[in-house]
Amino acid sequence: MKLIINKLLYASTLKLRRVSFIICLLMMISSCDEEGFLELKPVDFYSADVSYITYDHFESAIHNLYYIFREEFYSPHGAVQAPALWVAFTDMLYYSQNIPDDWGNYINPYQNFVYNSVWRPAYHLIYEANVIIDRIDEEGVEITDDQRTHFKAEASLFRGLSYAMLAHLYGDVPIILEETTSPRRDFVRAPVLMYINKVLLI
Amino acid sequence: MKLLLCFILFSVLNVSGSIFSQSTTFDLAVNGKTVKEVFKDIESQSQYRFLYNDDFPGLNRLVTLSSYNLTINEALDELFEGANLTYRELENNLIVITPAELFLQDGHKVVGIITDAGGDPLPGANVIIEGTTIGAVTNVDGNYSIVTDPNNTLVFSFIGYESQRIPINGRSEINITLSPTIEQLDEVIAIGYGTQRRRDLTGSVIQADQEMIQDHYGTSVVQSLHGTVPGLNIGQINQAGQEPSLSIRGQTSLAGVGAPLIVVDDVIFRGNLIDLNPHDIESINVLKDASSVAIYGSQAANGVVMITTMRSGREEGITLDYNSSYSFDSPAHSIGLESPEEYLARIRNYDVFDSRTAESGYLEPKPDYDISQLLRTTEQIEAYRNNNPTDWANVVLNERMYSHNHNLSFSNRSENSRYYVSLGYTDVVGYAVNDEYSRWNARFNLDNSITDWFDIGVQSFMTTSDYSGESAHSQAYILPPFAPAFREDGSYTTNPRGVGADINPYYTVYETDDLNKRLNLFGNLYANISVPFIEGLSFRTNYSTNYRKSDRHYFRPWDSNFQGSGQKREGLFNDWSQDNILNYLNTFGRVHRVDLTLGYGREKREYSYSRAYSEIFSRHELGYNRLQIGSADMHAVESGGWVETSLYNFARFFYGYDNKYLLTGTIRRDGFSGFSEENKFGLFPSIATAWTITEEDFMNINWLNFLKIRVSYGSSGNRTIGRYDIVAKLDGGYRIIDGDKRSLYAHGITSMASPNLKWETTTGYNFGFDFVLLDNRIEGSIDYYNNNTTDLLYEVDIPGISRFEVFPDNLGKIHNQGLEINANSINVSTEDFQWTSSFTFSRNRNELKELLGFDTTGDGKEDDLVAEGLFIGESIDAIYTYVNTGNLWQLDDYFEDRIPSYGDYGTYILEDLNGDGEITPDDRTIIGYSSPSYRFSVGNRFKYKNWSLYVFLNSVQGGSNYYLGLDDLSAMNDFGGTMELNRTWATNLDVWLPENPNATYQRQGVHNVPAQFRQTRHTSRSFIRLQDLRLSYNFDREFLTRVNLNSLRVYFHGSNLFTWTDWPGWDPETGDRINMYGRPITKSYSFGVDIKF
Repeated sequence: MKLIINKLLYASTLKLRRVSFIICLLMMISSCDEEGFLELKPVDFYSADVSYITYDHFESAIHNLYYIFREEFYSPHGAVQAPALWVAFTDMLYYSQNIPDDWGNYINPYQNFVYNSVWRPAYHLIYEANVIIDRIDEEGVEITDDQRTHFKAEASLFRGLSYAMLAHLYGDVPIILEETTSPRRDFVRAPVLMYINKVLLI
Repeated sequence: MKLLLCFILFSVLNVSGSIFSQSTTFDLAVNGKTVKEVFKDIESQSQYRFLYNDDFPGLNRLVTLSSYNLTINEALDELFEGANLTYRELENNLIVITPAELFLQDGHKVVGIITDAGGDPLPGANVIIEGTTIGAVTNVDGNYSIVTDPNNTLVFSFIGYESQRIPINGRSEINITLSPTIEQLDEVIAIGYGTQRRRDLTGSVIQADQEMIQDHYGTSVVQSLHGTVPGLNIGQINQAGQEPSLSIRGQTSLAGVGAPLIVVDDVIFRGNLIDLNPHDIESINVLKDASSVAIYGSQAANGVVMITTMRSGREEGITLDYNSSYSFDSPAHSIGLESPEEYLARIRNYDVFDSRTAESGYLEPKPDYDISQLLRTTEQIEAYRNNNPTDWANVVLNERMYSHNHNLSFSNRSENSRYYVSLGYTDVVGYAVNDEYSRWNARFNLDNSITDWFDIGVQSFMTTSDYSGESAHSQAYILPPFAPAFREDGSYTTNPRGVGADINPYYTVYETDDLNKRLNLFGNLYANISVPFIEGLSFRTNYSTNYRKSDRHYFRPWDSNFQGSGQKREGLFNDWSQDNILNYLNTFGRVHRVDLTLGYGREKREYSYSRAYSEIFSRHELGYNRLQIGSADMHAVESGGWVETSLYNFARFFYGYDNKYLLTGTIRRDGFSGFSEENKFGLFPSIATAWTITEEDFMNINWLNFLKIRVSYGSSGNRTIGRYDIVAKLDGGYRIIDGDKRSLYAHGITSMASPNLKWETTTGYNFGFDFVLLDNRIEGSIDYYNNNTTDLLYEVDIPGISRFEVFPDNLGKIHNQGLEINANSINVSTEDFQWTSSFTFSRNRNELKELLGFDTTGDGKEDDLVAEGLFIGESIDAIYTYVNTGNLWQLDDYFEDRIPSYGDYGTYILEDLNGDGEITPDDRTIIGYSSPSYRFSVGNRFKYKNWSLYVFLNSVQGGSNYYLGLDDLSAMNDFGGTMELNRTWATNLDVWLPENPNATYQRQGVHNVPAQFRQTRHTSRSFIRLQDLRLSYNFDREFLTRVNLNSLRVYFHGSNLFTWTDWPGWDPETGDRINMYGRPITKSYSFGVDIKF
């Protein structure tokens, strides 16, 4: 009788050991590297962090400047042919698509036509150029100095062009020469001359 | 305890019911036995049974007897000689032993009858003088008699019933009705990663009416709960297979998810709720307050709905259950279409200056006015001339709406295992042609005890659902009656309306090959180990995986100028989750109840989709199954996906002292891949206490059976942010061409990183009562909650100088508070007739406390976001617009030039609030709120013999300025365009005309006022609805045995039978106003049968 009880006790101890083992195992499996498990893994887009490193990356970014310029100012939905504004070099506005319209109608609190035609696209270009000019100097970028100079020059052209457009239309405008990485509301207008010094003459 | 056993024994004997002969004699020859042992001897020799309390003095006295041929009376007299005991003989050979003093004592005699709630006497119930062991037992008629001091207190008790303490106060007759013990309070319910007895709950947790769930009405699981759980708001549906919207308590988020977390069998459920078969559901609990949901941390701010599926039939053994119903459906309320005659009369009035004579004041029609000039195409003019209208409603709407479903389940419960297998089929045909839904459900649940300490099991299901078919219900309104469907040669016209690229619905509805199918596969494996040697310690681990596939293919032969277009789109969700839960539950020293739960788990979710598309097919037969034969330059491919991971740890501690003082504390730590590095983990603590006052000795109020006060405080989160919002995204493509005509790849940043994004946090307290009153006739709960949600995810406007115009950030604060009442009562309960009622009430108010925090106006108060309709210190559902006087500008005003620029003749007159003589945006104000003021529902259930009738009224009320809906014809008006001429309007509209100056609605063809001045009109959506009427009949057991069935029930269920409302649109609850795109909700008459073998 005693023997049987002992056997039973032994068996259940074994079971208990196994159970404890299983519990420990499960806890172990579960509590592995938390940071690794929670790592953010984009699967259908590239993040900016890995997209400004090689020559091809920067070349594609430069291509985008041309694309935006065409898309915003020349495509059918970029309704206003903006270059007409700055070629005229005055504050006179006209709608070069020959649609009889008075721009004055659009300058009111309910319309963002002018904003969407010039201000927003110009700053879009400036941003894209700033991204290139900023990121090309970062550590780990795999391009030669000649290529760097070339890309910077090309980006500066679009940036200068955009500021010229803005300055001719608005006069003093905020001058942003770095990639905006966090939201800001504290922009201030800088004198037109500053843009000539800072943007055109660098 | 012994006494209890005696009572059980008694009840067994009571059934046997035979009388043992008085003349039977015994031989008593005992030497030094106790009195109790002698009783046993007698019991072994006869059918007499003795009922006594172990504590009675003298029962353990040793006796020595040797007497023969004694009758029972003689034997007992001899036995009790010298002892202070006496006996009384009841029917059924039961002999009750009582202390002799009870019957001998001089004193106050109290008599009475003890009955149950139904009035039936309770034989064998115990009456004891408080503080003593002295007592009496009722006889078969429930009568008792006891002699005691008139100032004593009597305690009445019976097994399975609640004890009652009644002071005698000199009375000589006390009749008592005992109520059954509130077993519900000991019922164990799911609270997330574990269970708890209802009496131990410290948070606001409501269990949905079991009977409603068992009636499993509706296509979706939650439809049968519509309106029955206060605080759980379930939306109306108006399409076949539509998922009702769900929300718990108020809106806590501006941009984020508003739906509660769904947990099925303790696993977070990511699919569509409609994939669950209502017949497979055992119970549904709703966790509402911040403390009870805190166990689900960063996903729980909108509450949690816990669903438990069937484990096996409710009865032991094998059960085969077949349920079938067929429902005749119709629109509960439709916006009628105008007839061709009405249409012609209306468009004739479109421009009264043109169609009527000036001399008559534009009241008389011009005799020579030609209406055909208003029609758009020559085909339309021809159809008008030939008076050959087309009934488009007949083309796009179903003549007959119906639904039917069949369910077969098989379950078995044995000692070591139980399983449940079911198969279900549902088919719904809705309002519009191709508005159809069909679903197959299969489920297999198994629980198996391998040893007494090791259980394993599985919950699994497969659902396929089919939403195929392109429907075009709104075409009934969009197409005018004289737009011809057929050409003279009998072929379909292509563009009957003559507008844009509108295609004849005969093509779009009937010739499109449209496939929209979903598949849901779910499996959850678990193991449960009750750790041996440590009482109360158990460990549970489970692994669940879920595949959900959705296919959306179509081939439209009529698209691309009848050359055809096709798409094949497949999406696949794959989730897995793993939970490990360690639980320790024990009671120490009978009063200290401890329940500790620790958990750790993780989850991974993946989604991927691909889409192939092509246009211009020279042959159409293969459709979307051979897209590559489409024109090569029209081929398009697209693919995408996402991955997210999350993990959690939690600890929950419960301590209960003597069922009186209860305390629960939880803390959960949540990590989510979508949270930024700085905020990778969130911590969500909560604490709750409760005090069951009725367990206190001083709380002895007759009418109050149970009262518990709960107070809880805690915080929970709403993940809500996008999976990838924290990183800067890039997008690219071949966007430009170089001099050699090569495509060049271009890319740029499309969103700014928001490196601090995190969850929205809802913190609040809940104060509640649970009560049971009046002999358990009324039970219910009242809850008040007060929550603040902070760190709202909001797309903040930023200057375009940054390139991006919005930036997602966590800021602001919304406040929600509300009251919920839930009560159930037993009004009448007799053997043949029962009447029970339920009542719910809920009310919620929200307020936007702060958002961006800017004060540019310098008034010391944060600026309102007028354009977004958000006002600080106001409800987020505020309606901000001009005050509509309800009057209209008339022709006289027009001719006398009194109409300001915002209006025209036949348009609403706006109120000049600031009295500056003109209407400017400053004249706008908050005219009311779109959210409900309060909701209530009343349910009554009557049972008479085999009949059962259930009537349920549901209501949402707005009071004077809540629950407002836009009620104007702006959806049908074209604001200066002429589309009204080319549409079918609703019939019988009270629209302005010169002869109808005081109309409800503005005239058709209202001029193009700038949007910011657009006149609106709002009407209350308040309604009361006879939502459910259910009559069922259960066949007699007698009949069932004859036909070899376990149970047979036939029923009729009517839903949405009648609605009392002033809302003129499609439906007040869906909020669809009079427009072309609305759909009616369904009124149904459903007949069903439920057979159990």
